[in-house]
Amino acid sequence: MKKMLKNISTAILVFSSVLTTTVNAETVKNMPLTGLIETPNTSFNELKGKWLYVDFWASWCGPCKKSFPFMNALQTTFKNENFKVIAISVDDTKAAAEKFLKYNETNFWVFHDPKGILAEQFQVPGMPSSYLINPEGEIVHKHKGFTEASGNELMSVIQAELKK
Amino acid sequence: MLNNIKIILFCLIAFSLSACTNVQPWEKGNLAKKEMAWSPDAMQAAMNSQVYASKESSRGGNGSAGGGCGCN
Repeated sequence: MKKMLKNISTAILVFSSVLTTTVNAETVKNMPLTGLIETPNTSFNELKGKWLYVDFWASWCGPCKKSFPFMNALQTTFKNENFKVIAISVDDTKAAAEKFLKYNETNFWVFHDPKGILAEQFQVPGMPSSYLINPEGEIVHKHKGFTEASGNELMSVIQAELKK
Repeated sequence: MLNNIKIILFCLIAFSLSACTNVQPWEKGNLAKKEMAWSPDAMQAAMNSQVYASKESSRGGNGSAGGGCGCN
């Protein structure tokens, strides 16, 4: 009886650990990126060697809209330093994302992740969320949400990381 | 012994049938829609609040949290 209960509990533990295993997002895995509008399709492997500012956004997210001018400024400020801003939309439909982009100008690359595959790999904690990735593909800074103060903080962090 | 096994199996089945689910942050698009708010029409909500307040001679105690995109 005790042996059977022990076997059952061991089986449950093993089964649940298999189900809950997630990809470690600290080093970015090679994942395909589907471009929106004029952004070409690419992958994280092809972008290795550059500093990346990856931002997850959606057309239904108010703070995401506020972060777009900041990302434009970021791309302009660091354009000569091997730095690329990448915004990934998690909208269900391409049309919703493209409608948003029609009214919000961007000078950075925008990709689409309708099924949340990339968002899940990065374990996005909230909307918006941003990640600073070094040329080796390691996530060196994470930021959840966006406010006016966030812009200044992020700019300082990025400047400090680029100087290292 | 057989009873214990039945209890354990019953618990496992009951937990697996649970309808609770976690909505991931990137899946909250539908929750952010205007019609998903507790009071989608602000003017209607204000009028209702005024009517209740005048009938009960007291204000407050209404409104609730929840819904929305949960951004920031």
